[in-house]
Amino acid sequence: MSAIARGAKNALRNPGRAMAVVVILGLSLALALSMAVARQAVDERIASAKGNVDSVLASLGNTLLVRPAGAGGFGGGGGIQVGRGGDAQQATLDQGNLTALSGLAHVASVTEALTVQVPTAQTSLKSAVNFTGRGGGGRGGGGGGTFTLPITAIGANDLAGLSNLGTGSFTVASGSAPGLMGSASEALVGQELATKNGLIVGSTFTLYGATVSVSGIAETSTANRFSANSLVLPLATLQGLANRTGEVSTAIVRVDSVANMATTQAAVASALGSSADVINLQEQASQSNAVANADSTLASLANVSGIALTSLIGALVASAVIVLLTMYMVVRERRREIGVLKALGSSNGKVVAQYTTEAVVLTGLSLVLGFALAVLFGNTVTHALVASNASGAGGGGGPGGGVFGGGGGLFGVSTQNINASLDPALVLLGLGVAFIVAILGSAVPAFAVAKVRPSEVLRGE
Amino acid sequence: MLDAIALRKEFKSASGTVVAVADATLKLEPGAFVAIVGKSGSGKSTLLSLLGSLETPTSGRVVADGRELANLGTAELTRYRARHVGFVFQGYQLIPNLTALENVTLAMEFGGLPRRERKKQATMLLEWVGLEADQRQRRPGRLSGGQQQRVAIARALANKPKVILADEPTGNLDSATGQLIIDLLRRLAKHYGITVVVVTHDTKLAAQADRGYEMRDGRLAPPSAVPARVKP
Ligand SMILES: Nc1ncnc2c1ncn2[C@@H]1O[C@H](COP(=O)(O)OP(=O)(O)OP(=O)(O)O)[C@@H](O)[C@H]1O
Ligand SMILES: [Mg+2]
Repeated sequence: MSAIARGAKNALRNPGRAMAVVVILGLSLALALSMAVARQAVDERIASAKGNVDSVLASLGNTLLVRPAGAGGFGGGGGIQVGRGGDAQQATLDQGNLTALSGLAHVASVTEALTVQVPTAQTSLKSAVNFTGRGGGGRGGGGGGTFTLPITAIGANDLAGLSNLGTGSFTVASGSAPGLMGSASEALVGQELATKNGLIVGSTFTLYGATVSVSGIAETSTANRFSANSLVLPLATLQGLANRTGEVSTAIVRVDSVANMATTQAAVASALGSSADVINLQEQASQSNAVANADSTLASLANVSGIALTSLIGALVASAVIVLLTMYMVVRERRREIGVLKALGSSNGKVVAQYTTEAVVLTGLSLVLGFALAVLFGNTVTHALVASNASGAGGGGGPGGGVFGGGGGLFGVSTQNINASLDPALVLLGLGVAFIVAILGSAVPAFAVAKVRPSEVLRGE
Repeated sequence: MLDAIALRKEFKSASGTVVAVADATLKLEPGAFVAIVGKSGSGKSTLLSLLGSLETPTSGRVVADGRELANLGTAELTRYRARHVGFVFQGYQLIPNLTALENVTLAMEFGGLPRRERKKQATMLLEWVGLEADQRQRRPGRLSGGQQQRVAIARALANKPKVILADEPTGNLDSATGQLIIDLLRRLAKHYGITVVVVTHDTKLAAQADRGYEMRDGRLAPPSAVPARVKP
């Protein structure tokens, strides 16, 4: 039997105590693992949310939004008729006035769009989005019942400009976009809507009594479910079908550089007179409550991450102390035995190896328990930690969440569904750390073994 | 051949210096069966510790087969303990969670005996000291004092040492069993040429040795001074 085998055997020499140590150390390691997992999950969420906010703000950098004067607030889905039930006709811009804009200095492009909520009776398509009683708040907010989001038809003369409409961006996944400058009866259909209705490229459906064919399927930004439930047609086509000729609900003016925003905004405003409001999107967004909410949620998530780190370190220190104390106790008890081994001609190294193995085996068993507990309860711990320390800015997007709407719009930082998982890297890290803890704990036997004088412990009874 | 020359061992403590062994000189030739008697605290165990290199003397020398222990390095001393001397401790001192057989193979591991030979040799030794087959597989807790002491002697013999240092080997045994153990030790000296040093309180047992010494306050009285000295 080697020193290693003796150490392993000794780990279970006193089964009652071994079990107690494994349970306590296992709990401590489980706490450490859960905290590592929670921190990782929260940090990932922070990074992705920050990236999201930053990239949205950046994309708005040189964009002016033109909308009819006095149209409802932007947040909550007023301005561009998104996210509001019914089919209330809103004031629109006169398309004739907009033509002049492309001639202004520093204007790079003008995207015109007409957004229409298609009444259920006017189309063969079924809406892909149903909400079941989950409001913008935390878990269990909002009442029961379902709400079907009407399909949004967007008539546009340019696909790229649409990302600023609050309908999210459209990326052609299959087929192609219809010729938006023309007036063909073709549409680019959002993925979810297409799936819901079994549409593929070449399928047809009816819209306002006309037959429209699917020219392409679009992948839409997941942050925005409105785009997933929309379809894009050439502006002229939709104007004709919906009987809204000459009407535009929004225009997006891209300015050649951020430096020219102020002068161009003034020029556009004076060209359109009092009939339209001209808004600097980035300015508006960065002043919005949504961004402030996102910032405060990010700050509280950062706080959670800090708490997790502190607890992680605390749990590791506690684990090391548990191993240390256990080994201290064990070595004290077996001083005489250590003396015998040394008197029989064992090197210090061999005795230390034996006791280190004992510590490693105890820690290993505890780690198995710790992993099991972390897998079972890691998510619960993460959720509890986030729920008790982060003020959520809302769930995953309720009805009425406009572009900057608090509830899961582009800036919504969700504290929901932060899911912790034990990935292989963390498992390895856990193993490594536990091994270090065990070795640290073995410093006690190493020290004690060197100190034991066989003649002293063997003198008499 | 084990020589102790003018050995002295002092222990310093807060309450002062204790001279455990003072100027002990002892010549132990192969096959010698030597007894040391003396009152409690007279320094008998300390002397054995010095001979077995478990302690280093304050002054004086221990010379084993021409090599002075003070000149040996840590690894050589470890080797000396494992192979040159065999200890029989006061109170057996077997490892409680190992079987009798494992207690013996354990010592063989430290002596560097190849793994595959250990079990066979240990079995032979345990047979020689008179342990039955089923007793060899028992843990010390399930053996009698006499049986445990036999295991301890087998363990001391594990690496064919030149010297056996036995501290009160009969201390916890009844006189009949004690006599059996002493017979065993004497056979080692007579038939195998091993030097056997036995520390005992029992003057009747000491009388069976080739030579008897008495320790008084760390001093080793010459053999002639022991009254009940009997040649075998
Ligand atoms: N490590 C030590 N530190 C301090 N004093 C010691 C130490 N070892 C032994 N002594 C002292 O040295 C003296 C001799 O001790 P030793 O154990 O050698 O006696 P002994 O003859 O074996 O006694 P016993 O018959 O009771 O076993 C005693 O006074 C003891 O207190
Ligand atoms: Mg003694």
